[in-house]
Amino acid sequence: MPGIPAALVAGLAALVAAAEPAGRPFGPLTRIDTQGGPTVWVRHGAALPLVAIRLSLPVQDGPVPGATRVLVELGREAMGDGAAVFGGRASAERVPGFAVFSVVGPARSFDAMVALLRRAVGEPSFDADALARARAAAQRAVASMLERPETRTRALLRQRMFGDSAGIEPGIPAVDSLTPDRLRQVWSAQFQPSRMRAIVVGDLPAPVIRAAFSHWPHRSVPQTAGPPVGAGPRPHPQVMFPWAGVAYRVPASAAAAVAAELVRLRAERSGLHDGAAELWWQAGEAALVVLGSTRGDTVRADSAAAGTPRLRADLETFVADALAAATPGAVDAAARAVRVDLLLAARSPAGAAEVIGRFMDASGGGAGAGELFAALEQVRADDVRALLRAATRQHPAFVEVAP
Amino acid sequence: MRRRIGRAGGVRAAWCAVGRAARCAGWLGPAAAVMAAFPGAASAQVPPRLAATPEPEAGMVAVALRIAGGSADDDAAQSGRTQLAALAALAALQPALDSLGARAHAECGRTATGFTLLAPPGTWEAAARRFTAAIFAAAPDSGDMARARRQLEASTELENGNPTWQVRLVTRQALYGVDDPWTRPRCGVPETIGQVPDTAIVSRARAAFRPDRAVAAVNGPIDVQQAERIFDEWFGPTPLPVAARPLSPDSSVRVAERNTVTAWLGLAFPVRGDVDPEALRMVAFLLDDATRPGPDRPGLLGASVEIERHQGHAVVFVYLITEPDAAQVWSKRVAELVHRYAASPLPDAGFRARLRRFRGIRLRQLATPDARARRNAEALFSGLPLTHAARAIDALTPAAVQHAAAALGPPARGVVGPARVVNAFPG
Repeated sequence: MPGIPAALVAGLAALVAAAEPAGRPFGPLTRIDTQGGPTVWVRHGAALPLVAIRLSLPVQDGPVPGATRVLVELGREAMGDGAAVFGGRASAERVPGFAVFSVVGPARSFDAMVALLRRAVGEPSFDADALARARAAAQRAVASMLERPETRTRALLRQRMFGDSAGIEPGIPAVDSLTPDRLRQVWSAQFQPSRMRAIVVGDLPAPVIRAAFSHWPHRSVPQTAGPPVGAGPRPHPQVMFPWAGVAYRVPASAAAAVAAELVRLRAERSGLHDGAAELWWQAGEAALVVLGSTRGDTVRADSAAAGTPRLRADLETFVADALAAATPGAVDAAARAVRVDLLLAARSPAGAAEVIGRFMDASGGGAGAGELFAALEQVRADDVRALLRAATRQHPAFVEVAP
Repeated sequence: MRRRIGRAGGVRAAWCAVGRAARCAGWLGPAAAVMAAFPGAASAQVPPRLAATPEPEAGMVAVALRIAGGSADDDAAQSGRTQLAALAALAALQPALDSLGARAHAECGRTATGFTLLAPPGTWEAAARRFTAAIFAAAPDSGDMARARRQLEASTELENGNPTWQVRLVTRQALYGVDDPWTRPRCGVPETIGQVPDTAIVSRARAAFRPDRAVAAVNGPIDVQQAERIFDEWFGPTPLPVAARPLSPDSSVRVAERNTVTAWLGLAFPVRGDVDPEALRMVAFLLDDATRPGPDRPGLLGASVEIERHQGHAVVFVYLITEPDAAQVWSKRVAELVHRYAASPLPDAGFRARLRRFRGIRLRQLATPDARARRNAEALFSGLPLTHAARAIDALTPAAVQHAAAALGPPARGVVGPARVVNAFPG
C-alpha cells in the first residue's frame, strides 16, 4: 500500500460530522450515477492532464479460501501491459475486505484506462496459462504473508479483531481445487458492477465518465455447492526474534487517529525493533494496534517465552505512556501530523484516489477523507485522553509469533 | 509590491553592500519573477529567478530552491561538506517546520544543491519564510550538525563502493578526467563526512547558500504575489551567475577491474548546444525503452538512463549491466542507437506511439507539486525556457527528437568488471 502513512495504513477514523469544508485534495466529490456500472465519485481538478482511477469492491472468501485472491490475480493478468501503451500504470491488490484495481494515466487515455479496469473485473477467460500463473501468484502472496513474522502478526491480529481472514486461512490456498467453475461462481456472486465503487481524480466531463462506466456486462452463474476446498499447507514463519502485537477496540473517530499517532511516537522512540502503532478501520469498526519485535539479549535464544511477555508489556506500556503524554500541545501536534500525512499521501492524483477510496471503503461509503481531515482540526485533548484511558482498561487482543 | 532597498532583509542588505549598490538602487523586485501561465513570460531585463505557478487544486504547496554549489566545490579531504551544510540547515529548521506541518529535504548535487519544502496551504507562507531564512542565513548549532552527520553517513554508507556507485565514478572520470572535482560523489564519502569540522560546515553554508546564487519555484494553491513577497526579500535584480563548463569529449574509456560475475558499463553522452529539454528526455526515454532487458535482448541484465543538467551543458548517462561476453556488444549497440535516432526522424506512426507512452510516463513523473517545482527550478537554474510540461510534450515532433539526438556527442565510457571484460575496452 504505497503512499499511505503508517498510522493510517489500515484506514482511519469514524468521521465526525463535517462542519468544515473538505480538505482540498479530498473534495468536493461529485457522485455520478451510472447505468449498470459502478458507482463513481469524481474529484475534479488537476494541475496536469493526468487521471487516476481506483476501483474497489468488497470481497470475502467464505467457503472458497483463496478464490478472491486468484480472481484478483486473474484481473491483473487481464490488464497485462495494457497501461504501458499510454505510459500509465495499473495495479491489482487484494487488501483486507476488498479487491482494488487502480490505473493512472493521461486524461486523453481515459477510455483506455476504464477499458483496462473493465477487463480486470470482467468475467475471466480462465485461459489455462493465465489461471496457472494466477494460482501461483496467489499462493506466493499468502505464503509470503505467513512466512514473515510481521505480516503474519498483522494478519492474525486482523482476524482476531475483525474476523477477516484476508484470504490467509486456513493456509496457503489449495488452489488446485479452485476450478474455473468454482471461481466463476465466486466471480459472478461478488464481482458485480453494482457492488463496485470507482474514484476518479482528474478533469473530465461528467458525460464522458458516465458513458465509460455505464453498461458494464455481467453474467449470472448458478451458485452450486461444491466439495469443500481443502486446507493447504501453512508454512512456519521464518522468525529469529519474537514478534507481538496488541489490539484495542476503539471508536472509529478522528480522536482515535490522533491517539494512534501519539502511541506511534512512543513506540518509535522506545528502541523496540520495528515498533509501530496504527489505527485499523474496517467495516465501521476500528482497532488501535501496537506491534513490534525485540532482538538480542532481551530474549533468550532458546525460548521466546522469556521475551514475549516482556514484549507484550512494552507494547501495552506505549498506550499508557501516550495517555500520560496527551497534553493539549501534544494532541495538537499529533493531529497536525496526521493531517499533513494525509496531504502528503494525496498530493498526486493517484495518491488522492487511493486515500479517498480507502476511506470510503472503510466507512462503507458514507464518510470521506475530507470529513476526517476537517474533524482532525476539532480533536480535543480530552477526547484523546478518554479514548486512551478506555483502551488501557481493556484486555487487548494479543498475538505473538515466536521462534 | 515594490520594495525599497532599506526594507530588505539582512542577507539582501549584505548582498547590496558588496559593490552592487547601483543594481540595488534599481531594484526590480518582482520583475525577476515569472508567473504561472509562463508562455515565456519573462519580460524583465534579467532572467527570472522565481517561477510561481498557482495550482488551486493542489493540496500542498511546494517550494524548490536550487543553489549553485555542490560536491564539486568541496575539497577531496572534506567530501560531503556541502551536503552536511545543507542537512544541518534543515535540521535547525525542523522544529519550526513541525509546528507548521511542513516537511523539507535537501538533494545532493555536484554543481548545485536542491532544497524542497512541502507545506499545507494555510501555513506555506510562514514555512517558506522560515525555510529561506534557514538556508540563506544558516546558523546550525553543533546538535544540528551532529544530526546531519549521522544522516549523511547512514545514507552514503549504503551506496558508496558498490558496483553501481563505481561504474558511475569511472564513467564520470572518463568524461571529465580522473581527478576532476566533478567526479566526486554527489553526497560525499563516509570516510570524510566524519572528519569535516563544524566550523567548515558553517562556513560552507554561508559561502554556498547565498540568495544571489539561487533560483526558486513555487507550485500549489498560492497567490503569485505571496511568493514574490517572500523572495523579494532575498533575490536581487541581477541574473544568476553562470558557471558554464566547456566540455571537450574525447570518447575516452576508463576501466576498473573488479571481481564481479557481471559487467557494469556506463556511457556518458555530452549534449552540445541548445536542445529542447523535453525532446532530450524523449531521447532518454527511447534509449531506456531500447535497453530494457528481455528475451530478445540476450546478455543484457539491467539498464538505466539518467540526464544530468548543469549550467551550460547536460549529459545523458546510460548505465548497463550485462553478462561479461555481451559487454562490448551492448556498449556499441547503445552508441548505434543514438546514431540512428540522430540520422533520421522516427517514422510518424512509430513516433506517435512512442510519444504517447513517453507523455504518460512524463506526466506521472510530474504528478506532484514538488516534482513540478523542481522541474521549474531546474529550468531557471539552467537557463531553459519555462514551459508547461504537457504542452511542451504535445509540441514534440520527430524532427525535434532527431535534433536532440544529434546533439549528443561521442560517449565517454566507464567499465567495471572482471579482467577479461575490462581488458576488452582499451583505455
